[in-house]
Amino acid sequence: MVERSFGEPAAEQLVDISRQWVDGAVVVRVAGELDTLTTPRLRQAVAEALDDAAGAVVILDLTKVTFLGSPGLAALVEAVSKARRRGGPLRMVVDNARQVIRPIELTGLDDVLALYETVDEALAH
Amino acid sequence: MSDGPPMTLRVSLPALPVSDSLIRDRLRQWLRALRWPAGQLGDVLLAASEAVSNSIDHAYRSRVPGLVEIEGRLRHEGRGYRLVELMIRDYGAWRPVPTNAENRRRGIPLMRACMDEVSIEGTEHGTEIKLRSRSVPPPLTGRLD
Repeated sequence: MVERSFGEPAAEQLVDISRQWVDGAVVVRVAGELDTLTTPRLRQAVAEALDDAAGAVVILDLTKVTFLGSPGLAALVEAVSKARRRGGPLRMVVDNARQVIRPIELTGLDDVLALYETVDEALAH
Repeated sequence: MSDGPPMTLRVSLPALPVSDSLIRDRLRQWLRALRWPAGQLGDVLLAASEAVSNSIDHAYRSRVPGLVEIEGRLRHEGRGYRLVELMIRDYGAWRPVPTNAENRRRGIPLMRACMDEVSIEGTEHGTEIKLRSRSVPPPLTGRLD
């Protein structure tokens, strides 16, 4: 368990988000927790990635997400709407991490989100 | 005779966004000490996080956050089966839920899908959410005193 004293919390410590171009697509890698505190960073990262991509494919790699609650789910749904408005595909990579798949399936979002098992699959689509 | 893991958990923190994560950490630590099976542990964390984030988002109108509290209790069900009961409490008057609050639309169904029982009781003095987990079988190896 990570020791963390109250009063020094920072969203940057709980979630790590990076972005890079891979084979003509923008890949955003998310590692850590997506909850009340950290979800605003995901929203910001998605907005920046969509700007950067300018219509190219955007891939959200969620394989290293350790917690996904309803704030995170809401952000993923918003990301899909945003991407649609800009006309570029948005794909999400979830492999078989239970803590990511379960909330998505329990809320029926597996019908709404374009889900892939690996970044390679999402790139190759 | 050695001390077993604690049968109760109690955490009280300001209703700030970071407390969602801090409470989950404590809850995870407690359930791991109780050797909770991984899948069910995830469900308890998910449900508890939804309850806690309700308090963080809605309970306190003023800029000084009030408290969000979580109490956990282990219950033995016979033949080694166990469950946990959680109570998440705040002392604020919930602001009306905005109509575009997607979170709230999913939070309560998530709690109900992950837990055996969910009850939400709100008054002008505060809100109490009670969660009752599924029963889990005893761990396969070793004794749990």
